[in-house]
Amino acid sequence: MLPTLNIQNLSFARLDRYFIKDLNIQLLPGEILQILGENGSGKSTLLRILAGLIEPTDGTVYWENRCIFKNDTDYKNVLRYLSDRNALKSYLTVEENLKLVIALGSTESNYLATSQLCHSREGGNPFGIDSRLRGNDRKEQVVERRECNIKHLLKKEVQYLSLGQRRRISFTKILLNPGKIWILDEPMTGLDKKGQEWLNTSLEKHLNANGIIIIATHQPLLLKNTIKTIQLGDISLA
Amino acid sequence: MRELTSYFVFIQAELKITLRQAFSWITPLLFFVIVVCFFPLALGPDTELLQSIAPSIIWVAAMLAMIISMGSLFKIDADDGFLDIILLSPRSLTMLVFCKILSHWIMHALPLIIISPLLGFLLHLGTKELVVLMITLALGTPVFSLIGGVGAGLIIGIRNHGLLLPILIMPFYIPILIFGTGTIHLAEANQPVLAYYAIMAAILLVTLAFAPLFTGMALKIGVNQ
Repeated sequence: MLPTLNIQNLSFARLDRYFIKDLNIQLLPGEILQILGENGSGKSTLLRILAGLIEPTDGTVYWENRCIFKNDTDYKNVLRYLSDRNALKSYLTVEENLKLVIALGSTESNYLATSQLCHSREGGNPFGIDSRLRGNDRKEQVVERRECNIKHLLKKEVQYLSLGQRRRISFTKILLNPGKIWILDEPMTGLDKKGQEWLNTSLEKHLNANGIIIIATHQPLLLKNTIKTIQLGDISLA
Repeated sequence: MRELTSYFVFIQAELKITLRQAFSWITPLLFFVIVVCFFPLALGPDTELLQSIAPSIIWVAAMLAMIISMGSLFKIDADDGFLDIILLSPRSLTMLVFCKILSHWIMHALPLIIISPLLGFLLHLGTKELVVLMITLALGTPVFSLIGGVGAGLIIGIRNHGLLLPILIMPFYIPILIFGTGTIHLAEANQPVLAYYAIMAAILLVTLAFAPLFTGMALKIGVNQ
């Protein structure tokens, strides 16, 4: 049976207002869901619910038939979440930030989630990273890749970087150990044209390797894959 | 990466962050020194009076200095989004919280303990009392950090929380404050202090066992606000 992400009757209300009401979606490997909506329509909140950070008012989310809010360790191993705030420590260098992310996420089950994804269709890592590498060795290989374009920033403290550079590093954190499910909140904010191309290519590679992506963005997604969309405010599945 | 190495890297990163923003650990230390130094200025050079109230002054100043720093324990992580990384990490949340509290204690309480003999000397405490003061602070300040962690976790989702944190955690500081000052008074009276040490260590162990777990739960509730 294919591992699926199942969103069932999901509702979220705050201060007597429903941001999300009776949302039902099933995401299979290789599928992408784009969340659209005006500012304040609840896009980030929905992403935080799907990441398991916020509990919904009603309904639930299942990963491989297990509720993500009850048994969350398996889900944490496959999930990579990019919030709108980059999650970088300003007073640490880029290298130290990457090292910290490796320290917090580098369990063997966590790497296994990526290995399963990478070998599922193409028989190799879709991002050109040797799946056998662990921790800092993998970091070295990721930052060496030209498309990441962060090697020259490694020794700089994050506080001195531009918005686009910070976004680029945040996304590189995901590529260190890509997992199966990507939840991305406005990943293209601040990225230049090259950066956006890199992000679109990475999204496509992840989908082609049977990954699942949930993304909130106002930028057009230049993907060959079919994109499922939901519009918040007026919830409809396209 | 091995489990323990990961926690070590996390503690190391936390210490680096605090060291690089010097104001965050120097401010509580300066506050501690200034508050204690003001008492001899205000009370005058009455050696006996200063000696008798010295334990209380130092302990209350240490408690307030630590409360100042507690507010930022998880706030910066919540603001820059790093708290999400902590909550979504497959590593044990309780252990990660413990590492954060431990680094907080190292950067915010350890300097107070190191400088406390100097301030005790200023308030005419004897050598024996200074040693007792350091030991009690070493046993008591981790309890402040651990209990403060639970409070800091609970208020994470509240904007403009003002004085909510001190109101929330200070009542739980009372027992350790009583035993901390009481031990030094006993030492001054040449009474045995071992039983008081044992009680303080017991409080520390109980807090150590439960506070990181409760802090993790508080953080999960906090981000839901």
